[in-house]
Amino acid sequence: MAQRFGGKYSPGGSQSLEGRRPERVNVFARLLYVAALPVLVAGLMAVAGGSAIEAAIELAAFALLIVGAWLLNEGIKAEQAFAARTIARPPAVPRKILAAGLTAAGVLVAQAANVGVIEGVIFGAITAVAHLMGFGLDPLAAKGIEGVGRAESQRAALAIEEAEAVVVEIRKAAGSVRDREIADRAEALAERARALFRTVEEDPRDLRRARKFLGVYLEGARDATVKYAGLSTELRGGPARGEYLALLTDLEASFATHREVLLADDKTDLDIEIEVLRERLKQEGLEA
Amino acid sequence: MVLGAGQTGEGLMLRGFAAFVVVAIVLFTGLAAFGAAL
Repeated sequence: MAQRFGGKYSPGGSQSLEGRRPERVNVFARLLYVAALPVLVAGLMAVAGGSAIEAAIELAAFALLIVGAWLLNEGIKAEQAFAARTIARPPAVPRKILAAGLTAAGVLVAQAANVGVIEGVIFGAITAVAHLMGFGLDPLAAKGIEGVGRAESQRAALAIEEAEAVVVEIRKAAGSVRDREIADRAEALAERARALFRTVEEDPRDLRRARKFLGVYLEGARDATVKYAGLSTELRGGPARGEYLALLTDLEASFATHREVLLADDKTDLDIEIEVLRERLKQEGLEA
Repeated sequence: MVLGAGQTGEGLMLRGFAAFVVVAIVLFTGLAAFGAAL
């Protein structure tokens, strides 16, 4: 029988792309990985030729260039994460600026070894300037919303960063189960959590309550996922799988309702919900 | 590439060119080292 085409990303499919953004790739930043390869080949040829000092210099230059390229790509990722948020702290390590320094140092070392020190310094300086112009600086200042206190925004940004880290742990643990449905469901939960983070970012005045809730829910979800992932394969096939999936469903629903409650600013509802979830997690054998 | 907020076409071209220069310098530095090793 013919079947109408439809995958999990089709409208009405199991996996929603709502709220996700495509990752923007900087082609030149990626090309830097490839462009560094001739230096590696030169270094290996020096190894083959038995010239140890030349080999050490070329390989050191290659290491500088590759670490620089990696830092640049990481910096671009961090910049995108910064841009996606309403309130955010600047990245702790200015990766793009460091990348400019490392790439320039790599060019300097390689040129100094092959051509001359003066040429190396000049090419290194050109590289540094072009790198900073071409790839830009890291975001250096925190951003927030006007009208909301600076300290408040910063606390919210910090709390959300911590919560994001817990979401990453959940996805990692769920991924290690090697069960497609579980991974998909954990992914959906992570998406709901992110939607909630955006809500908190837009109004960080509710941080205290949101924090209590994020702590109970997210840490509960993480503990459950880690525990489930830790079960042996045989146990996972049994009733534990159904129970775990039911817990995920509940959590997912709670995230959605809590987001609405946070938006509606109804304190009592939220506190009751948190109590209910605490009970639920206790029953599952997880201390909240 | 897509223009972001506050970006102009000229600015983007300049940035793209500068990024290209970095890649070219790294590549030709490597090629020169490779040539010297031959």
